Amino acid sequence: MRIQCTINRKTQDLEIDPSMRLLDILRNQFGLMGTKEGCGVGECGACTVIVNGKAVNSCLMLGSQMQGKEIITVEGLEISGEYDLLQQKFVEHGAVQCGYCTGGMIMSAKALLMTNSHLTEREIRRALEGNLCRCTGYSKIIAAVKDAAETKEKRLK
Amino acid sequence: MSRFSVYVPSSMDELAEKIRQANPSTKILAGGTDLLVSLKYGEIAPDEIIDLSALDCLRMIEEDSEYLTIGSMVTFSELEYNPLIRCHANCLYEASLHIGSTQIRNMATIGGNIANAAPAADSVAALLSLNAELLFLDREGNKWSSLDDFLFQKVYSVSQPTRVIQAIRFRKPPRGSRSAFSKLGLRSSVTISQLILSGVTTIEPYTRVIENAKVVLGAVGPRSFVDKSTSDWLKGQIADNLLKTSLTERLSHTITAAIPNRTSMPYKRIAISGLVDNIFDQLFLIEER
Repeated sequence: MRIQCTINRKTQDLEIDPSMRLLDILRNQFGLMGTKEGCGVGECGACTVIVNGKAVNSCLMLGSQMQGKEIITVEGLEISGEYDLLQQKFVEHGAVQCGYCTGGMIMSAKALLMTNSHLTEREIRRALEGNLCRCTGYSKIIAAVKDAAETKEKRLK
Repeated sequence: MSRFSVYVPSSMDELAEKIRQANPSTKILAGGTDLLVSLKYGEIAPDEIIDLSALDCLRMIEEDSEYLTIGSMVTFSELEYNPLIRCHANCLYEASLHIGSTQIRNMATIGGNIANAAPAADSVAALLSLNAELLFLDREGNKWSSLDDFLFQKVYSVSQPTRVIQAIRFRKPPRGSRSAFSKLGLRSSVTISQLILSGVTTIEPYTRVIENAKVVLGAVGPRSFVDKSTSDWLKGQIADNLLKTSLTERLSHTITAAIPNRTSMPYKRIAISGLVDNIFDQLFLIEER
C-alpha cells in the first residue's frame, strides 16, 4: 500500500505493509526508536506520538490511517540540535528515571502545550492520564510540564 | 498480528460497493481503539479491513430544526469540544469527557463505540437516553434503525450482513430539558465503567412537574437499557429533593432484577445511590437551558 504523509516535518511517499501499525512503521521502517511499545493496547502511553496536532497511541493506529497526516515523534522535537523546551525542563526537573515512558510522556505534554500555555495542574494531569510511569511518581513530570508552560507563556508576552 | 489487506474507500459510493462485495470476515476500521486490540490479542483474523479514515463526510456534527446528527467517525475529543453537543446533549458531552485517555479520545469514534457495543460502552448509555437512531449502510443501501433495536440484535447475535454505521441522530430535547451522565469505575479516570447512569428529563418550569423522563442504566448486564418502570414513574412527579430516595430505591430494585445472580449485584445495587447523588441536581433541580 502506498502512503503519503509527513513525519517530523519531512514529506514521505512510502510503501507499507497495510497490516503494520504506525508504531511498527516508525520503529522498523524509519528507525525512530523513541516511540516505545509498552502494552500494545493503548493503556500505557509509551507509544504516544502527535498526529495532526493531537496525541494518539501509535500502537492503535494502522498504517493506512497515516495517509495525509502530519506525524511528529519525540525525535522531531529537537530542532537544529536544540532540545525542545519540554525536553529541557524534563532534564532540569529530574523527571526521567528509566526513560521508557519519557518519550510518550513528552509527546502528550507537547500536544497539550501546542494549544495551551496557561495550565493548571489538574489540566496537566488530565492530559497525561494516558501515560503511565512506574519510576518517578509523576510529581517531577508534572512540575516539568508546568514549568515549561509558564516559561512558554512568559516568552509569548 | 495476522496479515490482512486494507481497503480505503474515498467516497460513500466506493464504500457501498465494497460492502456489497464484503465477505463475513471483513472488519470495519473506524478509530481503531477496539479493533487493533482485538487484532493484537488474536481475537479476530480478518482477510480484509475497510478503513473509513478517508471519508470526511462522516466527520460532521449538524443540526436542523428537529434533529442533531453526528457522523459516525466523529471522535470523542470532537464531541467534547463541540458547542452543539454541550447545548443539546449534556449527557453525551459528560460521557465523552470520561472515555479512556486523551489519546484514546483523539482516536476513538462514536460509531466505533456503538458498533463494538461493549456492555460498559459509555456513549451508548447516553445515546439511549436521547432515543438515538443509527443510519446504517449495508448491501441494500441506507436505513435508519433505533439504537435500542441494534443493541437487541447485538446481544442476541441476530445475524447481520456487513454494514457500517454512517451517522447517529436524535431529536433535540425540548426547552426545559436537561440531561446528565455519571459512571463508576475502579479509578477516577481512564477506567472501564462498572456502573453507568444516564438520564434526560423535561420539567415544566412553573409547576415543576416532570413531563418526560428517560433513565438508562449501563454496565448492568450485557447491554445498556432504559429503566422503563422508573422512567414512567417519574412522569407526573414533582421535581424536588423528595424524589431522590424513591428514585434510588427504584433503580436499585431494577439492578437487582436485571442481574440477580451476578456477584457484582450486591455492590451495584448500593453503588447506584452514588451515581444518583452525582446527577440528581442536574436532572431535577438546576435549570439547564
